[in-house]
Amino acid sequence: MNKVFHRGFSVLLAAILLLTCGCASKEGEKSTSFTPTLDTGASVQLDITGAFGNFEALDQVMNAFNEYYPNVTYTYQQLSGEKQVAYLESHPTLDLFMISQDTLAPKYRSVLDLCVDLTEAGVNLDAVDPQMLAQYCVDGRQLALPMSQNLYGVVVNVSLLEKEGLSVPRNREEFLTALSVLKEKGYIPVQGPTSKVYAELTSGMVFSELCTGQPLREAILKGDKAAAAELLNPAFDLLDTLLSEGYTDRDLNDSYPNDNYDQAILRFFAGDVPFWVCNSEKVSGMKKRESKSETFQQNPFAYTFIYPPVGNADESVYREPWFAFAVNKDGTNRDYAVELLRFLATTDQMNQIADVKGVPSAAKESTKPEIYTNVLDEDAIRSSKVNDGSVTSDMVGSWYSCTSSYVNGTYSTRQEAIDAFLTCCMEQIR
Amino acid sequence: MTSIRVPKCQKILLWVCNIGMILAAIISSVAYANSTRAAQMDAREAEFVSTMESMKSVSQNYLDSERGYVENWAAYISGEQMTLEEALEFLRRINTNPNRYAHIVDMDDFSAWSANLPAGAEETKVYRVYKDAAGEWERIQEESIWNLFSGENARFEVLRGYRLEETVSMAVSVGCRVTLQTPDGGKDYLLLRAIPTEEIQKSWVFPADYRSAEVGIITRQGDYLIQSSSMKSVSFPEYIRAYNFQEDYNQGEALREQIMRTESGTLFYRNFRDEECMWYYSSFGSNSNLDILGVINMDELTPSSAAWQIVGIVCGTLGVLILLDGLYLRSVNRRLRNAVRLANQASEAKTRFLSAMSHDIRTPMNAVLGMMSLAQRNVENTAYVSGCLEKALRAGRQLLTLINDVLDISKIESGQFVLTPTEVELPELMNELMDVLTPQAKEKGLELVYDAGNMPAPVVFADPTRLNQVFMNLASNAVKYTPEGGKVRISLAEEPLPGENGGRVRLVLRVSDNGIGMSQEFQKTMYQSFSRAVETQVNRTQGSGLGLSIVRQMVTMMHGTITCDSATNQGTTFTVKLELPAVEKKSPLPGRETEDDDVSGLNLLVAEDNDLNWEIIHTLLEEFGVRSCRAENGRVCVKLFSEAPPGTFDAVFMDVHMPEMDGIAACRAIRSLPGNAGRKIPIIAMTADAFAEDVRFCLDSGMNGHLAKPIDVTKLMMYLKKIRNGTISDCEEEET
Repeated sequence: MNKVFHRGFSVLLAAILLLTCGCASKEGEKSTSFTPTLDTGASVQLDITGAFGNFEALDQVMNAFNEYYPNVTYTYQQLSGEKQVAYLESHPTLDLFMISQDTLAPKYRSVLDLCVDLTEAGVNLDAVDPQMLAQYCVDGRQLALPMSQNLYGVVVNVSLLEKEGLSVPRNREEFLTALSVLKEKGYIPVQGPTSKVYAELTSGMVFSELCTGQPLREAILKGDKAAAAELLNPAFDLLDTLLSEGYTDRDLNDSYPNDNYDQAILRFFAGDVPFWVCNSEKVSGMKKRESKSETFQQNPFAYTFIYPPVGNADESVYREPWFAFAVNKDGTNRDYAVELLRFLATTDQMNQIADVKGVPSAAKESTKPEIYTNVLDEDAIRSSKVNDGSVTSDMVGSWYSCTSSYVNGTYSTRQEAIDAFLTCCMEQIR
Repeated sequence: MTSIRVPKCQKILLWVCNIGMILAAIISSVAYANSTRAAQMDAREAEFVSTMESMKSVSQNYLDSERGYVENWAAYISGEQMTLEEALEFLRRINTNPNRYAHIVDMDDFSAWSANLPAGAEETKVYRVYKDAAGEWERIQEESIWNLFSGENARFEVLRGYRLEETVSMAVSVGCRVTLQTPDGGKDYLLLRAIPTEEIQKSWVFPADYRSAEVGIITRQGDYLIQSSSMKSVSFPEYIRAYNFQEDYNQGEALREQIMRTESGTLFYRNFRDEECMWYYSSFGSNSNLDILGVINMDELTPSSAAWQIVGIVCGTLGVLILLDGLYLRSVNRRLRNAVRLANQASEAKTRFLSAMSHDIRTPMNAVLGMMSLAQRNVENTAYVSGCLEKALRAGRQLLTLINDVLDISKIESGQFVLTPTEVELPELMNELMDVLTPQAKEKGLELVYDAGNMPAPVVFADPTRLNQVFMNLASNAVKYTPEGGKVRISLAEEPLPGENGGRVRLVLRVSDNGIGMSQEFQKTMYQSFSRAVETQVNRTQGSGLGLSIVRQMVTMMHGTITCDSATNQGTTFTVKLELPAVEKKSPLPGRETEDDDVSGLNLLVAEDNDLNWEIIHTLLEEFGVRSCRAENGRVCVKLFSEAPPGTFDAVFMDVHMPEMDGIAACRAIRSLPGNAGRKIPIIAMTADAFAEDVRFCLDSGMNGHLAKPIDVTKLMMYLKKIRNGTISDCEEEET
C-alpha cells in the first residue's frame, strides 16, 4: 500500500515538474517524396485561376507547400472556360491556370500555347496515372497536370434497393431487372436532368468506343457511317427501352435540377430516386450537403457511385482526366509555379487534392474513398477505356445534344440523331 | 523494541490534508492564471475590435475621398461638355496619382476607356465580361455598375475586386454618372476611379504586434469585396463552413444570416491553415451593404504564457518543496527512529545494567554478609573467623572495584576524567601487577608468565594509577576468562619510534591467554559499557562489563591504541601501544607531603548520623591517634563547631545525607559563621555519593575534599596528612 502510494506520489511530482518544464514543440511533417529546388525563403505570390468557386483542396496543397516554402502565398480567382482566354489576354503574367477537355479545342490554341511543357520543365510525373496524363499531352508536350479523374456514372440509393429486395446491379441484365422491379413498385428508377441523364448513362457505351483504336473510331476514320451507326445502336436501344418501359420519365427529367449542385443533390437526398445519373463532380459535393437535406437527416440512407451498368461485367467503363493545372510560360513566377506542380505531382499531394475535392484521384497509387469503392476497383480500371484526347469536348457535347434531342423528339428518327452525332465526330476525327 | 506507531486513519488524514492543500494551491493558481488570461484576452479582443473600427473609419473616409475626386471630375467634364477624347485627356492631366485609374464606361455594352492607357489605345475590355453575364459573380458586378451609374445609394456602392488591364492588379472602383458630348448630343457614361486593392490595404496599418491580422471588405451577404490573402472560397460564410463545418452545410447559411442580421459581431473560427482565429465584421452604416472584415490569429490575442509560467513555477516549486520536505521529514523520521532505537537500547542496557548490578552487588554482598554471619556464629574459632573475615574482605574489595568502575565510567562520560602523569618505573609497575595476579592465577591453576622485553627507557612519564588500571584490567580479564590449566602470558617491551621522536618511546603491552576467547560478534561491541561475553547471571565468572570500556577510554586518552585478536575457545590477545615520554631516571616525587605517617594529635569533628559508620571512622581515626567528636546531624555539627573555641577542631569530616540538616547545608552554615574559623576549617565530605558530579557538588559547596564510602584507609591517611600539613585548603578532589 505504502509503495503504491509512494509511486503515485512520485508520479504526481513528476507530472508537476513536467508541467513546469512545459511542453515539447511539434515539428511539421513534410512530404518525403519532394525536395525543394528553389530558394525556400523567397517571398513569392502565385496568381492562380481555376474552375472552382470553392477550392479548399488547393488551400490544403498550398498549406503543405508552405511547409517547404513558407513565404509563398497565392491568390485564387474563379474563371470559367471562355473567360479564361480573355483573362489570360488581360492578365498575361498569371502564374497558373486550369485547363480542361474544353480548353483542348482548337479555338483555345492560344491558351495551350501559353502552357509550359511540364516534362521539359523537369516535373517528375511518375506518380501520376499515365493514362490520365495522355489527354493533356499535345504534340508531345505535357501541357498540364490533371488534378483528378472525371467519371460518368450513377449514384445508387443502396438502402432503397435493399428495401425492395435488390442489390446494386453489376451489368446490363441486373440493371434492367432492377429497373423493372422498381418500376413495378411505383418508382421512376432513372432520374437526372434531360440535358445529361441520357448522355451520361450511355457515355461509357459511346465515349469508350471513340477512344483510339476502338471500332467506332476506326469506322469513323474510314468514313464507314453504316458501321459506325450500327455501333451506336445499342446506346439508342437502351434509351428506347428506358423510355418505353417507363424506367425514366421525360417530364420529370426536364424538371430535374441541372447545373445547380445544391438542388440536384438535395433532390437525390429526398430518398425516392433509385438511380441518379451524374458524374463524379456532382458526387464530390454530396457528403457535405447531407447536412443540408432535412429529409436525409431525418431518414439517412446508404448510397454509392457506380459506372452505368449498361454492359456486361466491366464493359463500357470509360474514364477521363478532369481539370488540370497548367503553368503560364509568361507568368511572373514561372519557376515557383513549376515548383508547385512538382510538389503537386507527388502521390501524397495528388491524393490529397482529390480527396479534399471529393473526386477520384489521378495518382498511380490512388486512395479509394468509400463512395468510389465500386468505380476504382482494379478490374474496372484494367478494362476501362481512358480518354487520351481522342474524345473531344465537341464530340462529348454533341452526344449530350444528340441524346437529349432524340429523347425530346427533335429528331424524327434515330438515324437522324445518329447522323448528327457522326457528322460532328467525323469533323473531329480526321 | 518499542516503535512509534501513528494510527492509520491519522496517517491517511494527514496525507489527504497535504494533498488537498497542494491541489488547492495548484487549482487556485490555475484558476488565477485562467482568470488573468481571460481578462487579458478580453482586453486584447476589445483592442482588436477597436482597431478594426478605426480601420473601418479609415476605409470609409478613404472611399469618400476617392468618391469626391470622381464626382468633382464628372461635374467638371459634364460642365465643360467634353467629348470622350477630351475627357480622357482631361483625366490624364487631372489624375496625378499614378496608383489611381480613371475609366469611362459606355453603359450600352460596358465597353470602356482608360485614361491610364496610351492615347489611341485607351480601350479596356475589363468591364465587358460583366455585361449580361450568366455567372452569379458577373451578375453582381453588372448590378454594381448600374448602381454606380444610377447613383443609388452611391455612398456605399463599390465595384468589387477585379483585375485592371493596366497593372494586372486587383482593384475596386467608385464612380458616378458623367455626361459626354457625342455627335448625337450628350450621352451619359459611367466615370470610374479604380483603386488597386493593395492601395486600400496599405491604408490599413495594423499595430506592429498584429502580425497575422488581415482586413477585407465583404457584402452583407458575406461575399468578398476586398479579399485578403487568407480569405478563401467564393464567400466568407462558405469559407468558414469549409474549414469549420465541413459536414454541416447549414452552418454557412447560418453565418450568412447572422452577418445580414447584425451590425457587427465577433466570431471565432479556424482559417484554412487550421489556426484558431478571431473574426470581426462591422457594417459601414445602416444603408451600407458593406462590412469591414478583420481576422487575427488567436495566438496573437492569447496572452503570453507568463501567468502559466508562474503557475508552473509555483507548482514546480511546490513540488520541489514537497520533495525536499518529504526527504527532510523522512530523514528526520529516520533519525528519530534511530534515536528511539538507541534510547530503547540504552533503556534496555540500563535495565540489563541494573539487573547486572543488582546481581553483581548482591553476590559479593552475600559473601560479605554470609562470611560475617559465619564468623559471628563461630566467634570462638579464631582461625575460622579469620578465614571468614579474609573472604568477606575480598568480597568487599570486589564490590568496591565494581563501584569504582562505575565511577570511572561516570567520570569519563562526564568529561571530568583527568590524567595525572608522573614518573613511572615500569619494572616496578609490572612487579606490583604480577604480585597481585600471581596468587589469583595460582589459585585458579593457571600458568602465568611475564616476558620482560627490551626496555631501554624503564622510566616513563605517565599516570601510574591509570596505567596500572589498564594493565590490571587486561591481565585480570585474562586470568578471569581462562579456565583451569590454561596459560596467561604478559609481555611488556619498548619499541623505538622512527625519526625524531622527541624523547618518546612506544610501550607495547601484550596480554595473551588460551581461554574461552570471544566471538567475532561480541568483538564488535566489547568496548561498549556493560558488555560481557559471558552473562554473570548464568556464569560464575564475575565482571561489571565496564573493564574493557574503561581500558579503551583510558588508552584513547593516553593517545594510544588497543587491538584485539581473539577466537572462541582459542584464546585472546590484547595489544596496547602507548607512546610515552621517556624519563632518564626516576627521581623522588616533588611534593609537600612528608613520608611521616604520624597524624596523631589531630582533633576532628565528624558529622555522621549512622552509628555503624561513626563507629568505623571513629575506630580508624583512633587507631591513627586522631581524636574525633561526633555530631549526629548537620545542625549539631554546626552548633558544636560554632560553640567550640577557635582551633578546637583541625578539620570536619562531613557526611552528606543526614537528618535535620544535610552536610551541604551544614558546610555552608559553617562557612558563613562569623570570624575566620568557619572559613578556614578544612571540611572533607565523607559520603557514599561517589559520582563525579557528587564530588563536584561537594567541592562547589565549599568543602575541601571528598572521601568516598567505604572508606579507603589509604585515602583517609592522605587526607589526615594533608590536614596535619595544612595543605588541605587546596580543595583537592579525591581520586577514586
